[in-house]
Amino acid sequence: MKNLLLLIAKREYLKVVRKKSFWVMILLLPTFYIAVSIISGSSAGTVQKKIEEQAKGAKRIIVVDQSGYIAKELIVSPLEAMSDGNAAIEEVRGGRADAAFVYPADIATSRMMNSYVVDSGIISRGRFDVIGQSLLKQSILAKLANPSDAALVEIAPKVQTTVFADGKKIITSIEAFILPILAVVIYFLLTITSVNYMLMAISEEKENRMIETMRSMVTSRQLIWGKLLAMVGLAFTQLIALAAYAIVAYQVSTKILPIHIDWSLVHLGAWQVVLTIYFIVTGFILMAALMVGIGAAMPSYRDAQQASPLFIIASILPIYFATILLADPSGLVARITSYVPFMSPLVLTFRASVGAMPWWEQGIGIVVAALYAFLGLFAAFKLFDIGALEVSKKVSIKQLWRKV
Amino acid sequence: MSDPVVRIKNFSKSFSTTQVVNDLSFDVYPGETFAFLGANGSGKTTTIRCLLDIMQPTSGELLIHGRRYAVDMAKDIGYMPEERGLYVDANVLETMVYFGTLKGVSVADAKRWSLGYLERVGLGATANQKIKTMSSGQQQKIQLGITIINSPSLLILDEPTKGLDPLNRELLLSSLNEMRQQGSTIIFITHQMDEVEKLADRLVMIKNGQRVLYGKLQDVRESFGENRVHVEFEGEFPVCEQLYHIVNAENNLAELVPAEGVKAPAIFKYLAGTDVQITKFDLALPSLQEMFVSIQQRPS
Repeated sequence: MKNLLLLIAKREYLKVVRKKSFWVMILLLPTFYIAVSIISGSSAGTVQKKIEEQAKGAKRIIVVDQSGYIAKELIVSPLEAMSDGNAAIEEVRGGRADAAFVYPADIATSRMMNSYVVDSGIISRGRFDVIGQSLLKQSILAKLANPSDAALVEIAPKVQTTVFADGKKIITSIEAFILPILAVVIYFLLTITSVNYMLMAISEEKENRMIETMRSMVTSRQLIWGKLLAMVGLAFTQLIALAAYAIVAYQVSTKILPIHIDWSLVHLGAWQVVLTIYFIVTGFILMAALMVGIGAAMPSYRDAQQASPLFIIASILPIYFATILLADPSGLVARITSYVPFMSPLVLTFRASVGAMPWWEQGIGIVVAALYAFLGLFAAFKLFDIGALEVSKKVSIKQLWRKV
Repeated sequence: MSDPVVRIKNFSKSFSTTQVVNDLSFDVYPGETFAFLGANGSGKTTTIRCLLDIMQPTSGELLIHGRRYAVDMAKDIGYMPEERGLYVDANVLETMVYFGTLKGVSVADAKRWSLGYLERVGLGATANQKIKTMSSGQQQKIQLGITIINSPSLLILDEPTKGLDPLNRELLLSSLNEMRQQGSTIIFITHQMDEVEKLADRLVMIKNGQRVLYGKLQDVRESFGENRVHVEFEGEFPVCEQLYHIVNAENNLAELVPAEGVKAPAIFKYLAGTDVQITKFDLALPSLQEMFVSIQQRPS
């Protein structure tokens, strides 16, 4: 039994890791995300720079102060004071001024000023807004007697937060998020990539008409567990490759960016780590089992691929309300979604990794995760028994129900 | 008689409300080449799948060497299913070695055997080739290779010559003959009756999941109710509906179908007592092809 299982696992593992596409994807995906972030950041910076240049290039900006707040000494070229608001607007309309700011008398209560500008393109129509706002702010600050008071208002002080939980000081810096980040990344990796290999592996047996030959030599359980074992091996290989990639990226980025992780602050409780790993593993088993079931129930890989995203999206759905989970990992939303099928593994993994589960919830979570994994495997084995030899049509819910 | 290698006893199988096999029984003995016949959908493949524990029987016993099949018995069995394929993206030698090891053959032995086999079937140069680059005939040779890599004592083949050209068909049949001479027990499903006549020692034929013929080839033919009598004669051939029906009587050659319960000697005795001169009297046994068609066309 053990030997057959290892033989199947070895073949499945080697089949995937020998493919160039496996390694390309491991390196390409994070590189792609980093590249997109850099390009997106750089393009946003470029746009901002262009707007600033356009604002700097202004030759004449008219200031109409009906509020009395604007300090006259700050109105220097290209700024120019004018008392008639309509005349100022006409100057802009006629293209003789780049912009006109009108500060109305009731600005203190209305909190509204008007800006009139010559059109310069869709993204830079508000290019003078900051200048108008800044002129008002600086004018008010200039009235403060003590310059250090003004500086304090101008530049908000940094906040150093010390947090206590159960009477103990806790870490709130990036070091505190090492485990949650790692846990969520690993879960994603397993859910998105490794389980897809499972779907491929089962569909391959069906499409190549190999299941009957295989079944005369190994049991369904041996075949499925062998493939599952291979998927775990693949996940570890991906993790090791990604870890190496991350170390290199970290070394390079710390030389360029002001990122510094104080590893001495990273304290992981053994139980917290064990619980996190438990939820990742049970979640992986559930998702892999689902892929086995889908692969067996569908006549081809193409059909299986069309059916699987529904479950994969359901499993990563918590990402869409991540802010709620981050804000209150012990809140009502977090608690309810911890037990909703498919979403449960990711929410439980996250909550366990941030230590946001009281002991009784940990107990329920352990039972629920095991139950979902068991039900997933149960359904997968049944679907495999019904659908493995069916090469021309999908397994119906009725057939599954009858088998159960 | 020795103990049967395969014993199917009172086997029935239903899918939901459809009864596919009904109270089927037969035995296959050591060293026999046994043909399992029946029209499409008659329950042959289902029987084999239940025998090999790929499906569960509804009732009855399906035994190999006296016990229910378990995967630890795979090392002595070679099974080529009707729905067969190969991992098309894998290479030939790797695939053969993989299946060899699954059947308990060591990697070294599986490799050595595979290379020898590939040479024998003219595929020596393809060992490191991907399977998808090969023709369907070549792929079938590899399928046969992975079926017999463990030198099985029991070989079960579901339509082994399906889709083969005449040349490859002959090659496969001669391989089976070789296995037979080495003492393997062979069960094969086929729709090619000439293959049965050439290879089989005994056969079972089923219709709608029920046994309709079973036994040695010659016995089955003799016991079939539609034997014909061929008579060469001179003179006028007598009519005798109580004993026979004349199918044809031209050019001094008559073809007779004996009436129910009438044996050939009774017809001979009757004709000898008439004026007709008999120069040749033959009992013509029906061909398997004729028997198959006749049985399958009978109303259920």
